[in-house]
Amino acid sequence: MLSLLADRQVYGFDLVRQLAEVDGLVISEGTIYPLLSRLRRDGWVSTSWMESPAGPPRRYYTLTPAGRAALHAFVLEWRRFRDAVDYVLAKETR
Amino acid sequence: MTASPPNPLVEDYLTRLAAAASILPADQRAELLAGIREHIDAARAAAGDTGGEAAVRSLLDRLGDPAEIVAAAIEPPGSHGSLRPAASGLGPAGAGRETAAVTLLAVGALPGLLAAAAGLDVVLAILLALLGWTSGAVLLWTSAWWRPNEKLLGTLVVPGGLGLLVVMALLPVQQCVIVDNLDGTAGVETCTGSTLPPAVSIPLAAVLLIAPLAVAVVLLIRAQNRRHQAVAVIR
Repeated sequence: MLSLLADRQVYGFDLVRQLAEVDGLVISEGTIYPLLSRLRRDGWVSTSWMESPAGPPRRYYTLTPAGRAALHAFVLEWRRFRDAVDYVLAKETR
Repeated sequence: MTASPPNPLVEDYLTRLAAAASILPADQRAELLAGIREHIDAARAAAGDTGGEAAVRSLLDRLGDPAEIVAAAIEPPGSHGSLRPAASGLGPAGAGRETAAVTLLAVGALPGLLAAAAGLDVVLAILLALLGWTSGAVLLWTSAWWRPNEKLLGTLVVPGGLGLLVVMALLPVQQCVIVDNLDGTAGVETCTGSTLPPAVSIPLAAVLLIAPLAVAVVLLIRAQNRRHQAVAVIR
């Protein structure tokens, strides 16, 4: 979720649809909203209202510097974990 | 985008969501309801409002059961977000296991040693003390939250945790007895136990007190930081 926000501001609805398209991540789209709310309370994500071309203003989500740092730390940790698993699996199938 | 006309299915869904969300704090509840309502409006607008009932049904299906959405909003008390074990593979939710490991390493040996001081059979007391500390060590080594060098640190500094300090305090103080010979001449002085000079014993006691506590704090902070990092993607 944080990585989808890494490059730009994202409108909540688009973010949820993008996550739903990634196979195996999300069961029900509605559960994304509580998670976004939690990320916002933790200070990793900020929200802003922006006018939409027509209709009510939309809520956009952006990564904060703290969220960016958390994402960076996680990516490093995840790669280490993935490499370790790949290494062990490769040894087993050899 | 124009606001979609009210739809009975949508209103019913939002009513059920509001009811389920009544257990949440008011601000979280309002934010959740607003977010979901906005999502539904955007989805209906994107679909051009052409699909009618079937499209609305499929939209609400994709959103999921209100109870499930509210469950995702509930944070376990005392934790900074929850880990889902099935998704993370990194052990049970909460920091209970890591806290237990660090606590047992630091003070797990104490009950056995205090029992020894209170008169329990020494062999039994030592076994009890070993069991307490070893349980902590096993939890430490089986946890996925620490790296091998940290596990080594937790094991070697200090084996027995604060137990070693207690052992030092319990060791018999040097006692010397002079038994006079029967003929009244001064006898030989015999001493039991051993005493370290204060220049050694005081710094040693300080190290035995501070080192295990410092290592415990370091281990807990490392585990907590990693947990926070991991929570990011699981959410």
